Amino acid sequence: MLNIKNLSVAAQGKQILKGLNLEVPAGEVHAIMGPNGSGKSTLSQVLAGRDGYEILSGTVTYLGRDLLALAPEERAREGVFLAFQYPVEIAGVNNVYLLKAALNAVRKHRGEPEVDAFEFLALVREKMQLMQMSETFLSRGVNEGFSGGEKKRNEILQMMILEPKLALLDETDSGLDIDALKIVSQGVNSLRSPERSMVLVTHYQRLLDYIEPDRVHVLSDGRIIKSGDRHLALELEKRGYDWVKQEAAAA
Amino acid sequence: MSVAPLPSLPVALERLRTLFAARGGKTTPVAVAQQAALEQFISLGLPTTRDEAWKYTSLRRFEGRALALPESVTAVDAGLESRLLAADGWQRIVFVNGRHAAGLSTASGVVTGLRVRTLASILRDDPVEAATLLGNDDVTTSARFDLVNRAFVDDGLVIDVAAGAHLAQPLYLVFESSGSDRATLTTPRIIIRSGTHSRLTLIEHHVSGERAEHCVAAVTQLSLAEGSQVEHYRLRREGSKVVHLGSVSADVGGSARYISHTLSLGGTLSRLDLAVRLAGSGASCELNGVFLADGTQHTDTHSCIQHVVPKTQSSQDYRGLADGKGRGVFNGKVVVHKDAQKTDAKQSSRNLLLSNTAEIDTRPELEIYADDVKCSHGATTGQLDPTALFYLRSRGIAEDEARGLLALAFVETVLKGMGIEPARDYVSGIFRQYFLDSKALAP
Repeated sequence: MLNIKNLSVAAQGKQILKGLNLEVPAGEVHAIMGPNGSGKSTLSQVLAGRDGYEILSGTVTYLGRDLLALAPEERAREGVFLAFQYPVEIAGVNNVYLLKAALNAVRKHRGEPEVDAFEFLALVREKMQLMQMSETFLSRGVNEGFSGGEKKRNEILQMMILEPKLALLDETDSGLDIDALKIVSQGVNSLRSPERSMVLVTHYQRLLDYIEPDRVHVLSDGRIIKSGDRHLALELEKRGYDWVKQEAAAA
Repeated sequence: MSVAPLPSLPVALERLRTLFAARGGKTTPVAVAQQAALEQFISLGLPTTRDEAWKYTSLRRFEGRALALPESVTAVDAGLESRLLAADGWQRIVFVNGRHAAGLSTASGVVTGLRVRTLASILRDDPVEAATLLGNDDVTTSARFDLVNRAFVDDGLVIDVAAGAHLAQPLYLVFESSGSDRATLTTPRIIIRSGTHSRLTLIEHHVSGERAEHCVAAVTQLSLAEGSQVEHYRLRREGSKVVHLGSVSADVGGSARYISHTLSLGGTLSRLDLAVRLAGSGASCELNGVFLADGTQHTDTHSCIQHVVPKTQSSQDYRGLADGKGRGVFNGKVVVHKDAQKTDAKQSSRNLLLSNTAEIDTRPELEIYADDVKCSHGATTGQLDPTALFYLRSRGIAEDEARGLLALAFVETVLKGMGIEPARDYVSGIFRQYFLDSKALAP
């Protein structure tokens, strides 16, 4: 699904990713953990196509295509979805309008007709129920006046409607209380499928109690320095990151 | 001894004098007042960018026009109906080149509490009243073109709303520039007097086709008696060659409320002077508006609110957009007079630059002579938020469309204040078309 080889990226003249390698096969959920400033968010932003980053070297292949050559909207239409760490408030652009426009953009790209208005609303209502969101959210501006938890739920709602092939979740657990975390995780788990891959970028192990990853990677100073199964996350929770760094330095 | 020749007048002023003479000499009181207005305009000279009120707006594009008097129009330019609001059941009064066009207006059935007369009929039948209506009060430098209107006006409307009358439907006034590729000078004048505790919604709509090269010097004067309310839409969407130098002034009495919504769109050079005088205790005004300068257009909105007595309120919310090499100007002046304690004045001017060559100058101007007042102002000029743009694109929205949606969202807050649905739909439709479809402003 996703294959990152030797990726080096700089922002504002400073190198952040330093030869990162990562392979995420179809159907798997990978967690990327790491201390602050290790490059986690840069990785998810670069994968989604945010400008302002300079690709120094390396390749990113997504379903056999050069992902970095695509505009952000093309990536989205090809099935890449980024759940933002800080979802943007856009007063004046209606929430349901965005949902529909986004879904239709994907459908058009696939050569499918625009979604039927009734079916669409039924779909949105069903998913909103799952995310325990009030229908009043639909008529509001995108994330306008939403609490932190509401914004994160809205991200997962969008993801459920768009059904991406590759979902990147950037610190989706940050700022969530335990109830919201459960709801969000439930939403994410409902999307697990053999055709879909997910990359969870997170600082804490907490999220991984609810969304069980197939693989866990430690990102430090712009590189993956250790990979393992979900037990690695538990160990990190107990022992912190320093021992991994030391281990990597020794190697 | 040689005699120095008299300094010659600037061409634009010379032209105005020639034009005035071409109307034929009359000696009625009105003609005398008009001659006086012309001479006053000429002696003051054209405002220049050295005048504070015209600092960002040059009148060069006005000076370049070889003005002509309006001819009688036999047919209006194609597509007039498509330029107008869909207004079922409203009383519609149409002016073409500043003159009442009865054939295009809807039958003026009797509306209880509303008296509408054309200025032409008053000029013809009651010269004494006419002379009063044209007034002889001083004009500000900012609204100097009021004098041109006074000098040349030969038609317009006088609207009286009876005390206590609540008019259910908006009164829809259309000013179409049509039928000539000469720089026709049009000078409609609207006078509105609302009786105590009456309510009126007025839509003043300036339109033209794309070929019009008119120069429109329109004046609207409102006087709101105690406890009355006037909601005034001033929508302007003219062809790209039009020069529009218009003004609105409102005198607001005790506990009366003036609400203004303005749209400024099109025209190579346009200026709107909006002067409100809060003259009675409890008087209030809410002004909001949106302007867009595209191509090489220049559009200028100057508001001036005078808080004359204690306990008056004003709020202003303006959104400006400039694209291409367009230039927008907003100047919001608030004057709080010495005795006007407990004044509450708010002003917000937010501006969006849509290209690297566009320019917007915005300036709050506060003059406060009382000490117990609440005055706030905020002015911003910026570009589209790159994070929001990326957010939309990451959801599959094409870049152009994402830009359009964000620009639309920017004007949306002003549209929300427009309570009359056909007016709001009209304005939002224009921006929707501009930002999401064609990027063309042609009417």
